[in-house]
Amino acid sequence: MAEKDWEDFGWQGLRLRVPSDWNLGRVDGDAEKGYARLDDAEIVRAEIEWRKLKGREVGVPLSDLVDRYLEGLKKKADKAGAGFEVQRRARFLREKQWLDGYDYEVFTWDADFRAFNIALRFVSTQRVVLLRVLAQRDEDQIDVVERIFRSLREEADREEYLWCVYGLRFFMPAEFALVGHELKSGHIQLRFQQGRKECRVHRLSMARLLLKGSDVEQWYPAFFKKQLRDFVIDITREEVEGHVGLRLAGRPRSRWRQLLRPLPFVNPRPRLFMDARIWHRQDQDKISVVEYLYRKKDDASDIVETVVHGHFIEEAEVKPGGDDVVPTDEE
Amino acid sequence: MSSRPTRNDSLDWETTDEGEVQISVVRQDTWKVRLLSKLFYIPKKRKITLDEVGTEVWQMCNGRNTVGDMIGQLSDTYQLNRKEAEVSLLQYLKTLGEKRFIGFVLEGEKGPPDPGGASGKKWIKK
Repeated sequence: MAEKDWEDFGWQGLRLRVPSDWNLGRVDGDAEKGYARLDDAEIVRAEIEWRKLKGREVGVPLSDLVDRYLEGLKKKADKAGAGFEVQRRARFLREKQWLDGYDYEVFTWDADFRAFNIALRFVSTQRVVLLRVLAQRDEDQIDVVERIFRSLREEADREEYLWCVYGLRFFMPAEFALVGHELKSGHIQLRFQQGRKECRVHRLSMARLLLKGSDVEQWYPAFFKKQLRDFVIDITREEVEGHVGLRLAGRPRSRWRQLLRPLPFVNPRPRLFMDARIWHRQDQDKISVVEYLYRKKDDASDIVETVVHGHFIEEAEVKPGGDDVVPTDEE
Repeated sequence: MSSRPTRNDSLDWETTDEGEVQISVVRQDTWKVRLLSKLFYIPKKRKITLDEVGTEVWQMCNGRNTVGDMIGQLSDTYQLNRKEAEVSLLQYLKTLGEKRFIGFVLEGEKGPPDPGGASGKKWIKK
């Protein structure tokens, strides 16, 4: 499989490289505990589960955690009357040097599909990750499995985490935690918070249809009208990486004006400032929006610029089995 | 993914000058509808106009394109990720199916002959 047929998947500080036709089918949880599933056009292809160990669990050997997991699976299989064969400490990986220093176990199980599993404990965060790649029983996927396993890494030591889903790719400062996401087709929205500060990233597809002949300057205030109603906004045209773009500065409407509004008299919406960048990539027919909302003027920061310039900037290749992120000049 | 959506032959539809598909839906002739129409105004015929994407999907529903083909076509045309195209297309086809505007030819069943589509355009990519 050529390099261009592979893509990063990044979520909650975990990243791996998978075939580009494997897309997120389901995602749950937060940084402490969660699950993500990647599907191709036909079947579930990969599942990744993570959990931060706490208290007594920290001292439990990884093999015991795998025991518990497999016991659960076996019970389910027995209940369903399905066959279930497990091979612990499986030896399908050709190269294991990259696992030196990790607490890990590789195992497989066979049911309707063949599942290649790796359980890894990341010591710095005490996060246990179980990555499972599924293959049809008559498929030879060993090379793919090995490559995916070798690309798995945790970004706990980095200042920014990669978030990469459905082709949307950006880096977000690690202190901003994901608090909400909407993965609608045509409009992907991720919301991050650090204390009372919030950063939102939107990506809208089918820009040509959305714009209907108008430009981004007219479209943005109309499309986000409800969200912008509490702001006095200044919009200026400013290109982003050579693409048609806008810079927006929003400040809260006057308190008097808010008091004069119809009921409720007590406005539950906080007074916020906003910085945003909006740009239209005609070559991809997409509009991207990065917004930063904060309560005090002193909280103004260059986070929007940080995110924008870590956004689609370069395709990064994760060197298999290594920690380096090697930028390529494909874009 | 291998089923082939096909338009309901009993529906009247046309392509407008703007290139949008307009489907004419005739009021059902059942006693309930007749009774309701005495109380409320229910037009005998109403027209539903599809937008650009809806029109493209409608024209692809010819009994020969599989759902998989349609996903590929939409993701190419609108530069959508395959999963994005799949989710919205399946939802849209479900809606059309519920309204009985389309049906599905299953694998192995014979689809309709190839008339070249209402617009004369072939949709399956070679």
